[in-house]
Amino acid sequence: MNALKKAKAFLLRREGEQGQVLLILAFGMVFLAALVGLMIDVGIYTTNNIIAHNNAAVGCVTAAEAYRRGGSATIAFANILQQNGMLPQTYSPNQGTGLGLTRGLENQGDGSWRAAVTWQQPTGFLGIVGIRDMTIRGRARCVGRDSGGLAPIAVRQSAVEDSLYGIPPEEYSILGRDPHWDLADVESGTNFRGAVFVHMWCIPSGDPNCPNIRYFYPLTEAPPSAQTQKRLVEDCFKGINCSIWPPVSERLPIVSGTSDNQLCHAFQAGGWEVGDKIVVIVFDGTVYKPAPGYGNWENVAVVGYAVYEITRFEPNPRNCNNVIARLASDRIYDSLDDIPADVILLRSREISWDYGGPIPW
Amino acid sequence: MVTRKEKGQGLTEFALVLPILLLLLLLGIDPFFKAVNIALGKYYTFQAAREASIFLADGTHSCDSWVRGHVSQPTLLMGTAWTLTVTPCPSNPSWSQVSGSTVTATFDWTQSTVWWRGPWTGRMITSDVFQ
Repeated sequence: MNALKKAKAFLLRREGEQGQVLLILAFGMVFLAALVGLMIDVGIYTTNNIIAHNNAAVGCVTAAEAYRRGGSATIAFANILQQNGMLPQTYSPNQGTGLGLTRGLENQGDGSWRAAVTWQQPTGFLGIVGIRDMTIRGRARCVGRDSGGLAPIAVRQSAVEDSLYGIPPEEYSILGRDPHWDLADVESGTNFRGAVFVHMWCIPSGDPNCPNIRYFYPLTEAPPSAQTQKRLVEDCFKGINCSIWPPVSERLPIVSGTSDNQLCHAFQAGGWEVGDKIVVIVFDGTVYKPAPGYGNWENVAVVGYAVYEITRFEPNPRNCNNVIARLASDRIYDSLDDIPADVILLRSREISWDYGGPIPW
Repeated sequence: MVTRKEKGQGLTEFALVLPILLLLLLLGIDPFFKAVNIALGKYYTFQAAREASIFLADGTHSCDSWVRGHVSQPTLLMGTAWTLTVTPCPSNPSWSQVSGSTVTATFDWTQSTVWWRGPWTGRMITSDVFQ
């Protein structure tokens, strides 16, 4: 009752004091609206900046990958950004260059790419104080892989170890038979020319007869036709459809029924050139020929991985039979994670915008 | 000279205005949380699509387990449920990607609300390309 009286008295104040609440409310509301508006607009700004950066990064890596595979980086960049809901004016035409790139895609010429997206985002409440839009900007720098990942090539362990100890020859054939350097070096391995299938693994891995094959998608034919096998190996040399990493102790069927010349050409068609580094499988030296009842999947056992540098194509680059290379790693690696990224880049990825060191990294 | 009646007038006025101000402030909380969740959702889908795109089949991990092992455990403001779907990225460990094809990560979430009628739902999608 007492409170009611007080409220009544308050409402029946002197005329001069009436309207103060209204005034406070008006000021308070403006202040609060500005505060809430600022909060919302800052949220919108932050959210959009994250979206912009993510889209720039995705676009950059996609473009670098497309370029590496011989496609159009610009088209790949535009396509993926459109799929992510970006309007063309946010990424095209190019604006600025190098460190100052604010929109578009740019090949830096050192193996890296820069991508940026920019747009004007209408503000919400800040429009009240005259700020009608804010600049949203996302940018990313990335590198494309400088190899096709793991090559479907298996090199004998003893050859790798000899190279590690400096025993000549320094260079030898890692793909295609070479009378000076027999990769198979076993009676049963006469079909082996250095290439293996990574889309097919023998299971269980401990059984050298390879009684059952495990097939990896996108390989769906079981067993695959000769044409499919050929295409898979060619694709692997190009670094496409070949994101498979057979671990140590797995057994892989060898590629047979082909010529040195076909393999070498497929390798060159993959874009490999003299000076490129390549990750190969190291096998234990034995090309195991299964007992007749098990079929004909001659196979090798993975003991590790090594990096080779291509030194030349024999007898000549235009019509080659052999890929000659020298060891470029200081040991046999046990897993993908052991291979330093500065030895060979296995994945396209984002790097810092202002990185000034050597590429690839 | 301030009379006795006038004493506490400011306090009373403040007491009348405060609820309105607070109400306005509180009404902004849910939209703000949603904005933050949108940013988080975008980040998670970006991460998931990126991880899927670089997945290497090693016979042990599936694409799905690889992605879930490498994407941060989603945390949301007032979030009550979420699902992260990456397509195509199956749980079959004998699956490997087709280079150049698109992988799409979709993050759906539900958040409870404080002042608005809820719950609210949200979805963020990011596409990437398999390496």
